[in-house]
Amino acid sequence: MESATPASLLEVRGLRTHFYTDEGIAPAVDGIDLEILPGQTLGLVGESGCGKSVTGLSLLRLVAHPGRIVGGEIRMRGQNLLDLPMNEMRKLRGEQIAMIFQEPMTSLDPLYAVRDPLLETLRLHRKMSKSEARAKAVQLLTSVGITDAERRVDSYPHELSGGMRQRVMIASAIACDPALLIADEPTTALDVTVQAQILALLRKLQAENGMAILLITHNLGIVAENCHHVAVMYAGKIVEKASMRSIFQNPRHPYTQGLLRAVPRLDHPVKQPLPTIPGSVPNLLHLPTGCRFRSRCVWAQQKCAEEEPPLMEVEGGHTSACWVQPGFTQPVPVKEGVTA
Amino acid sequence: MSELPAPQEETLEGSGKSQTPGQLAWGQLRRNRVAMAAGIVVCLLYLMAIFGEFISPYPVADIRPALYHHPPTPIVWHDAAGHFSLQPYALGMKKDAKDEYVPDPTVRAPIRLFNTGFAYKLLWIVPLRIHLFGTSGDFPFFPLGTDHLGRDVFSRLVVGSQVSLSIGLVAIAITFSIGLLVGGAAGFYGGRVDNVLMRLCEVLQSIPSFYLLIALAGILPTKIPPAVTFLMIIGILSFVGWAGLARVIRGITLSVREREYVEAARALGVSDFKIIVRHLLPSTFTIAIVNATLAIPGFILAEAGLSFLGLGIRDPVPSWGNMLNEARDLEVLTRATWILAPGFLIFITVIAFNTLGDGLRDALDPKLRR
Repeated sequence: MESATPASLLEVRGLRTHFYTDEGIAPAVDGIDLEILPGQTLGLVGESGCGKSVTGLSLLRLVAHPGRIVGGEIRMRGQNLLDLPMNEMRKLRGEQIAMIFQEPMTSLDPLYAVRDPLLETLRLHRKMSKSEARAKAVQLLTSVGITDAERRVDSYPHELSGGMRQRVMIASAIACDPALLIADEPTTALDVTVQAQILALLRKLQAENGMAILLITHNLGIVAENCHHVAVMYAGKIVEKASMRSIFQNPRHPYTQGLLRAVPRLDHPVKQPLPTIPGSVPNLLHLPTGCRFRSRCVWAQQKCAEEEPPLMEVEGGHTSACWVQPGFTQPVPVKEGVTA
Repeated sequence: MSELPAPQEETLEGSGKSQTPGQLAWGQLRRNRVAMAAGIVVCLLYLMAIFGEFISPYPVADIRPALYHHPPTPIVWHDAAGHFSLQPYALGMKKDAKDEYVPDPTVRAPIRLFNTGFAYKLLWIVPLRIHLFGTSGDFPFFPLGTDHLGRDVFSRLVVGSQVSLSIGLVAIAITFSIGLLVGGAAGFYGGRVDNVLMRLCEVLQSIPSFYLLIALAGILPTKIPPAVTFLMIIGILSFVGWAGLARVIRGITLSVREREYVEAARALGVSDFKIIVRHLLPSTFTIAIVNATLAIPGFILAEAGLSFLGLGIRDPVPSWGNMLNEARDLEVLTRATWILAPGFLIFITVIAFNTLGDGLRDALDPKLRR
């Protein structure tokens, strides 16, 4: 496999994060493999509740109770992060791996000025003096496109718009030049023009600093514009993994195909409903046998119910977890006898 | 890669510097006249307590058996010849045929500002003999009359405020610390820690607090110095009082713990301790401050109640509660109504604290800000 080259910055092997709820154990992340190459962007795609965000948090070992990482390896430059003691892990956060979140409106503590998260990281990881850190903070804010940074550094979050706050979050995330930035739906809460600005900013910073990005999103348009590689996640499993071009030109998993069909297109016939994937993500507490997608899949066969498909190589570097592996251009059969 | 579009220019609210949350709240509080007045009253009360010995004309323990239940001394603004003077005079009093005190215009003494009287230490450090006011020599001047032992009620009231007012403050400081610690830990760690701590709070809260106070005060030895009694009363009050605050703090911590800025701070590598101190506790402060302000009168009342029952601060050390002890007797009360003065001050203090607390709540709640 191309992605398994030793050059990868971060390698995830068989990661499992389970949630121990009162009703039972929910395997939110159930044995996934990921490779993130230095300076490149990996898109992690899937619908709500399929374990994307939990994967992101697991990489930083930030999964909160009742969730727990129960197995696997997260190797960064050969070092398994799951073996690190907690204080070593904490040093790594913000310094090696940084994360930005979905909700810029609530990601800044309303009690502290904008400078605060920036100074906090810089003083923590870089042991800078107050004045040094402040100068660096102004410089960082300027680099994320905040004008008049000298003054804004003393503003409070309520004085900034959502886009500005996300810029501040990005500035504090890149303050220590992390090798990997985990961006968990960084633009979902922003309007479309600001979305484009923030994504352009991430691309610019990647070009300048050479950091790798794990971009968690459910928006395939964002993936097409920003990612080098894509991993599609469904019910805690990776179902398809390939380069960006390969995923869009030759999707092999019925779920990926469904997602692509559901993207609104300008050439879509007027007054015809947008195709959707019938049904919804199965309850993680009661997963079906065999393939987890089969209850929603038009290609489902007997074998799909009996045995869980592993990731199978389709072509160089493109893997898909499906027994059928239908071609995207094949006509979709009408589904019968299977209830969603 | 597309060119980075210039972000839209946004103007900051107002033109000048950003206001900190503290400045915003202060500005709001200053516009609330009632709360400001209450705040000033509270400050005056504490000034009175701090400068107690300076303000009081007599030592609190001075007994004058002959002058028991002496009414407040009349003050007149004319001299012996009946001419108006800027110098106020204290009139003497004598007993009439019915054994009641009546003013005796023939005996008078000037009331002097910065009069020399008994020796004391200002702020417990500077030895002084100067008092705010007083009369020369032995001329009896009791602005609020005397009690059943002929002790000056005004002096006892002023010095007694030291006990009554400081008990509220110290007790709230202790309650606050325990409440923040227990509530913060319960909220932050959750799970079993939360369960154990909260059940403990509920057990404490399920006992009627005044009976618990009486029971605890009852097992205190009687022959201990007043300073120790004072500390023990504070200990008892805090022991009973922290549970309510802990529950409030726990609730806020639980909700703030899930906020994204806490998660963001974690993702930046900030330690648990720093997250609690810098993000969790400060967000509980606004509610905790209001709670504390509203709880202080409760402690003052509880001390007064204990002392009233003779279980708190004991004579001859004055406190507002044990001064009221004497007012239990209705017959005494009809003859010497002035011994109710401490009750009036308790009333003023409680009202002032409650009003101030209400004002603080309005000022600190951004939703109520105009």
